[in-house]
Amino acid sequence: MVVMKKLSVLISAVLALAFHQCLADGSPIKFGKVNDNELKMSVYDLDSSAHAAILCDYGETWFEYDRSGDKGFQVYFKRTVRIKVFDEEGVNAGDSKIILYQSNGSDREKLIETEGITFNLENEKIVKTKLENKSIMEKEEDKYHIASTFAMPNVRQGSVIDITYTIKSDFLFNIQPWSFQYLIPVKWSEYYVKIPEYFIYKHTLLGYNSLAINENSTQMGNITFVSSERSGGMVTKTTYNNENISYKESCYRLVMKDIPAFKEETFLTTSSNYRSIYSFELSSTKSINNVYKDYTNTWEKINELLLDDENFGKRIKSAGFIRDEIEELISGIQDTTEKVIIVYEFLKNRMRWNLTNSLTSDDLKKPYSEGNGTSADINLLLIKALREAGIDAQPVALSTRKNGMINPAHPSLTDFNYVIALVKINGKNMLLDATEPDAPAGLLPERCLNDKGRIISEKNADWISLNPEGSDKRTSLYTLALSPDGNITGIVSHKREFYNALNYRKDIHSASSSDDFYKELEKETEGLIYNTINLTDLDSIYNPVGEEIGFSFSNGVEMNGDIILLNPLLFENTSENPFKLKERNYPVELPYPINELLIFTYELPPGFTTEDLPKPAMVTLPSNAGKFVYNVTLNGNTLMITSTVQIKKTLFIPAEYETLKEFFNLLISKQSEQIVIRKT
Amino acid sequence: MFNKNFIFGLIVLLFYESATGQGYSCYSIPDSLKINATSVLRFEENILTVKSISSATYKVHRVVTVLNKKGENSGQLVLQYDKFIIPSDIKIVVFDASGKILKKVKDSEIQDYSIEESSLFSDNRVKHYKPFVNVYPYSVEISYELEFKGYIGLPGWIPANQYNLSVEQSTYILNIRTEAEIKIKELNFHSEKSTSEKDGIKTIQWQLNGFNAIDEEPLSPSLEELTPRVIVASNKFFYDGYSGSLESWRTYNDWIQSLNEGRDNLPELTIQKIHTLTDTIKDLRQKANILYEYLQTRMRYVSIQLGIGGFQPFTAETVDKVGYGDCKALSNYYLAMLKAVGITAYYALVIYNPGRPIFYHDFPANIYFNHVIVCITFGNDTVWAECTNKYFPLGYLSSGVAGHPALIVTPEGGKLVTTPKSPAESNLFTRKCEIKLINDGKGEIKMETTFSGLRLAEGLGKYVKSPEDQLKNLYEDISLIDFNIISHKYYYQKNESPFIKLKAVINCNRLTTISGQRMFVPLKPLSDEIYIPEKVEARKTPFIIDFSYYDIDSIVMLVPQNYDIESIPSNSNIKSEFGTYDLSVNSSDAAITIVSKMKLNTGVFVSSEYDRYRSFLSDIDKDENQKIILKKITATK
Repeated sequence: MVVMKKLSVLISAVLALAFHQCLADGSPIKFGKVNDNELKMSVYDLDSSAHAAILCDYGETWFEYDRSGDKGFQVYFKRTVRIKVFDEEGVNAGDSKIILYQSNGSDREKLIETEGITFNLENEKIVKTKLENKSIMEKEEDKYHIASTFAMPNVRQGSVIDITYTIKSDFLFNIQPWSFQYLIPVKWSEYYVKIPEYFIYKHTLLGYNSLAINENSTQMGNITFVSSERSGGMVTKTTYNNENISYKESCYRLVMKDIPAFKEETFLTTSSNYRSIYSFELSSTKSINNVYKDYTNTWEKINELLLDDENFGKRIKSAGFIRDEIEELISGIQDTTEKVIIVYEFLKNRMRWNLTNSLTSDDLKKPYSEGNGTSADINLLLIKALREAGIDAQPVALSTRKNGMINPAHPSLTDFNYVIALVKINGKNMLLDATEPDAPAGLLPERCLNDKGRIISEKNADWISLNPEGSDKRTSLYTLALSPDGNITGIVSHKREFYNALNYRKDIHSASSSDDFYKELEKETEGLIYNTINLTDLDSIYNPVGEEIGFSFSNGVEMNGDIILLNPLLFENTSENPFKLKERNYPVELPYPINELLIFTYELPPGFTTEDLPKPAMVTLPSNAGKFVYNVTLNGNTLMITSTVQIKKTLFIPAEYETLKEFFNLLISKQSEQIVIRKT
Repeated sequence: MFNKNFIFGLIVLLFYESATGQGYSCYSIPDSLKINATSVLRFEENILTVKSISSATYKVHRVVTVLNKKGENSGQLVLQYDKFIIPSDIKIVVFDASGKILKKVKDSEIQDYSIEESSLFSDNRVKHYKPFVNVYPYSVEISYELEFKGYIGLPGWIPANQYNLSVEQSTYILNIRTEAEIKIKELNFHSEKSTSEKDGIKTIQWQLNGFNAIDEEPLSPSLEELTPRVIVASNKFFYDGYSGSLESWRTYNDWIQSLNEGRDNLPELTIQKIHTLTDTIKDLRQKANILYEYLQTRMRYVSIQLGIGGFQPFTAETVDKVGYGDCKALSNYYLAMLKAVGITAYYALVIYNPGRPIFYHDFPANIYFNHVIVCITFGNDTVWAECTNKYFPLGYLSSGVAGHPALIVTPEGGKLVTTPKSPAESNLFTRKCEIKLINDGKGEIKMETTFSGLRLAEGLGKYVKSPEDQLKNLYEDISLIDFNIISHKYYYQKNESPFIKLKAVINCNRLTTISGQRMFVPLKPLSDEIYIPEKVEARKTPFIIDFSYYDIDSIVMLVPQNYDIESIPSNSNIKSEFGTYDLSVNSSDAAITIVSKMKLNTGVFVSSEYDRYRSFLSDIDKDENQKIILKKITATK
């Protein structure tokens, strides 16, 4: 795959000596030099609840030319960090796990010059405890990673911990990203990066905090080659030549200060979108002879790269083995939509997704014959199959929800981790993902609903919106009778569409059987007994699912002497507000809109009537983002309650949180208003 | 025409055909084995060969049919190993329903990664593979061999090791040199084993044919207690350079003693410090308490388990230097401190289990104890110390350890005991509320809650957080609608009768519902829903209630001036072998007083009692969910 190749700059030399500039003067921290204030500090000034804080975090990345000459440039990353522990809860703050990358067991990043000291103030004296080498343990995590772990000695309330380590790496593709923000506050965080002109990296800053200092400058770097020549003849003579090469280095100094601790919150697609991290991706290189090799610095370039890639564009073309089967499949079918659906269904039912997300595939034949594969295996096959059916299908590269959002301003190949298919039918776009067995063509699984994807095409390269084509839509009609002892019997008809139908079908298919599924549901609600269950179109995924359930429920009322207190929505009411906190710092990201209509009709027992019905309610969110409508009416002996909840917007910024919270508070309290029913 | 070779060839051909897996077709599974089953163990043959006190091999071969998606875990390979266990020859083949080979798994497709679980570092690794097959049912054949280069425990036999897994046929073969001392314990096994001997090797074979799947039922004993099982242990073993004996609890005790020998030397400076702290105190218990608090402030819990380090603690000197250790190291360190001031105390192995622990008194083995605490004796009193917790008072054991078997390690051969466990009345949660009801549905609440006895840990969990996090958690814990926590404060009394107290003031905007003339007031607005375990039709297994407690709620509700009390719920008394519930509701003109007391007992009950248990809980739930109805005073009154 394109992204994981190790790079080396080719230079012919026998011996090489590299000189690199000394570290910049003015580095903000000196390992081991802790001052009295830091030791005496008892609380973090900007956040008194912090259990620990990073006082200073300094990272440097620089390149050195390998002296033995055969590895080319190597990149060094050195970090020095000072942590202060304020109370017992913070004593684990210095325990470290450093992940090193390895490739095929032989090439790997190396951890060198690791040191750690814990400083404690005992009776006005500074006591130092050093981290011993034998406390540093290393082992292989998995095929691509090695972890080096250690716990700092003698840490307690008031301790100051200094840690420094250096990682030496041959892997230049992604140099160490720098995390400014952690789960504890950071006072000063600085990253100093020096990159030789031969490498051009794309920088990306994620998160809500901004840089206090962002300086660029250039310096000169130097490589000296020593080569030897032996002359033949009667007397052999060896001459040594010194060759000196100067190059420019771009230096970046990035600083953030007074960074608050990062707090995880609900309804966030992924925290890495919001934590302050600065990362680098190699976009092009040029060799010493000035040949410029472009990697990924524009979306157009990425488009080209992927189309040309063995495991993407070329891989799609290689699946010609599918031709005969597809031709047979669609023979006689004229209508384009029908063709698309037939091919989509065929491939979806034949292939089972192995839960691995991928953008590229290194083989399509084996997955096809075995009937299972990664998301790229399946969808690249789908694209080829559609093309063989005469349909113009294009791949769309995207990043799944958990993987983070794509930033159109920063072209980056490594941001993509998934691919789906795009077809155009009568001028209209349809996106297809064949990994989800219960999804009809055009309805993307939740993991794909992440803002936008990139169409990878020779002629039509562009962005395409990944907004959901449907909502979580359900209409439920309850026709019930209330008996004097409080028992409720009747029928409910549910009609489920789009994502509501998809989720329902997924759930019922993962149970041992439909019967089992309903048995479990029944168990979950105390007092509920299912009598009859009739399902319509359970497996006709292009239609809504219909459920007709006959049931009885004994927990719908509270008997209070002469009064029956009815909970009108029985077990359907929203009982707890998902948004309880006073305020929220990050957006609320719902995957799809919500559309729920509930209608309850009760036949009251003879001789009973209602007293003081709940008043109707209508609550709306600003700019038509959503609404809640509630109505209770009595007609003779029939009590009817309707509740409509619609949320049309899926992204709410922090400033809108308060209104969203209040919307739900009103909704919940209205739905829980009980109805008084008593004998006349 | 039919020469010898032809016939021979024909026979070979026939033989070959049947060996390629036609026997694993899913169509031959008897119906009885499909009841409650999501997977079926078709065939299993595991062979354990014990070669010496430090070497053994284990050959595994099994075929599992996965009937539907829920049974997929049974078709996986999950092979745990470490430095002393070497896996080899792993073969995995996947078959379709008819027995045709779908896939032969390559070594490179099997994932291998390290697992840390609760440790910072350990040498445990796992090999893992999960097939992804499109159509059910399908079968998976797994075989591999393990070489043990030293062991303390040996793999036993537990054919039906998952819920909803039935067994068609499973065999376990144990090969041992006749002089080896291997002891065996059979559980829930009703057939005869077969024994034979040849060339100095004794072979014992167990076979299970046709075992129905067990469905998981709430509160049931653990699966290991319900299913056929054979446990195997070697009386003598040699592991990571240490030899030991499991012959009796006494020899086990002596082995642990030998591991701990000489590891309790403290640096001179620390000994001096300890004396400075305690020499002026005469009372021994107070001395022990001072040292316990010193341990809690200076040390922290870090788990590093490597080889024998899984059984032997770090030396007290090391712990002194690095300031951390696991339960063994920290307990050993505390013992060293106590010894230095002349207090008699012992290292004690105990079973940590959130539920009922499994312990076979008559089968000494290394499969029970997984935690270490300290037992201090003051004359006739014993006080226990949990050395890994920074907040517990001395003498406090959490519910995961209280009332469980423990082995106190002594020079006199050790003592098996049961750790103390406080009764229901002492595991107290109290809540005192004063609620001022206001006309428009609002309510002002002043609340005081306390946690004591085995509930202390619950309260401590909330107390130890930062004030900000405490507040955030309170918001999540409280199930009111639209409320603000005006103030909150936790108190911790850390002594022989410890408790955590929370005082809070809460304003709720939607405490009561107003409908016309009426105001509906929830009887117990701050109480959580009572958890009622799932209904089970025709329950088969007994059920265990392991945790006893006592909840007392006292609420005073002040009625708004222009409202009268229309109806209040009546008093209630529910008594059963599961516990008791008392509710009393009284009213005066201005206020309503509610007192509820719920006590839940521990016990083991037969399956037929389960429905009554659920009714007991749901009756209490119904009582708790009642409403008080107030009515507006009209002008005509």
